Amino acid sequence: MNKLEQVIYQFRNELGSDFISTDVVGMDGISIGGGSLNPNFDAADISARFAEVMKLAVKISSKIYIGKVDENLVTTDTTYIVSRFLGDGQYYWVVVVSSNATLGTVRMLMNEFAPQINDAIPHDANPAVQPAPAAIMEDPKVQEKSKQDKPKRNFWADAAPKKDDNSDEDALKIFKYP
Amino acid sequence: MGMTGNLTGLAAADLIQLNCVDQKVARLCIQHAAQNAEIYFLGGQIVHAACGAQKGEEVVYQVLGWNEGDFSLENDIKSPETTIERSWPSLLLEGARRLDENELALTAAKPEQESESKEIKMTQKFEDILTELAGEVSGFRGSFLVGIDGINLASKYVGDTDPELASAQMAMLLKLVSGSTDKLGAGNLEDNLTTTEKAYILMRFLPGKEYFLGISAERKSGNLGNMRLMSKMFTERLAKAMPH
Repeated sequence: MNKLEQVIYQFRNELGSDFISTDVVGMDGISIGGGSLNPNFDAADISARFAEVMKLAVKISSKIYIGKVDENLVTTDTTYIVSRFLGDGQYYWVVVVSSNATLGTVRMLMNEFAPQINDAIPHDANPAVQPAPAAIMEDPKVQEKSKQDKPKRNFWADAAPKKDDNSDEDALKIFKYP
Repeated sequence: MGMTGNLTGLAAADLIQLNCVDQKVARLCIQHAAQNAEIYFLGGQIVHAACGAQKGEEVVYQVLGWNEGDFSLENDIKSPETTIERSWPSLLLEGARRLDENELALTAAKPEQESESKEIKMTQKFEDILTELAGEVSGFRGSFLVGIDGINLASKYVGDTDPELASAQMAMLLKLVSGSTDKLGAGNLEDNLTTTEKAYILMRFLPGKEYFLGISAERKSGNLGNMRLMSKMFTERLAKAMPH
């Protein structure tokens, strides 16, 4: 387990049973760490779609002069989806929890873990700032990919549990993808 | 020898027809409100008509629309000039056609005026609700009632916000978020909150998802919990104010 995965794992444990999915995603829509506990939530799909949401939010904020985007929170009748930029905006972090979660707690935990996650990201030599509107695709529609093309990841099944601590195994319900 | 009477007993069109069929030389004077019209007959035709400074066919068409007034018919009064050459049946037909057109136009204008008045009242209602919302939201910057097509229905804002631009941009984002949550199977979208360094922007659908309420508040002085609560309450009020 690399450093990023360790931090994400700790975060997930703090959230407990309300956790559904989390990913650290490049602005190209590709996840670099994380995954989903629920087979109904495709982590790769969330990553790609919310990269587009964040890009559009940036574009809009520049058009109406409301400053840099920090976070986007989506509330549905069953989930909260929180996505926020990390560091210089080269990556964003998306967290999906059930609507039973205490939103304030989720945001507080995200505030706490965001610096650690950002530090754990292997940054490249030429870091980019939050995408400028000109660099953003004009068409925010997500390219639909064949389900078969998407890499199947089960981060939580791949994560090696600590030998001297069974509480993680007991708490996690690991779904095995076909 | 002549005749006097009132248009309530004998219509102007009937008077004209009678005199033309009788081939009289006569002058028909009609008083209607403050107007006095004179129509001259010769050899079974109308040869001249005058009302104030106006002369010719238009006077005849005007008189044909009068439903009340007093008339007097004087025989053997010759016309001072000839300003009408159209035949009397043609004049009556044209007069009837114009009356029909006017009636249709009035009928059409009424519901248009009524619906326009309703629209103005509805927009005013929305703006009143948004004005009330402005007083309830800490750090208020703007509120917008927007169709999902991005067209602004009503707005209340401070500063130099462009409501049309803000509405269109918010609609784009909300549509993308709504589409994404649908495709992900993440449930029915309730609201979307974007936080930037200067502002909070909260968007919430009205029932039916044809319209949404967008609220913007200052990041420093805004209160998220308050915004979300007001958003819920006021979307319900706006939904009730919508025409059904």
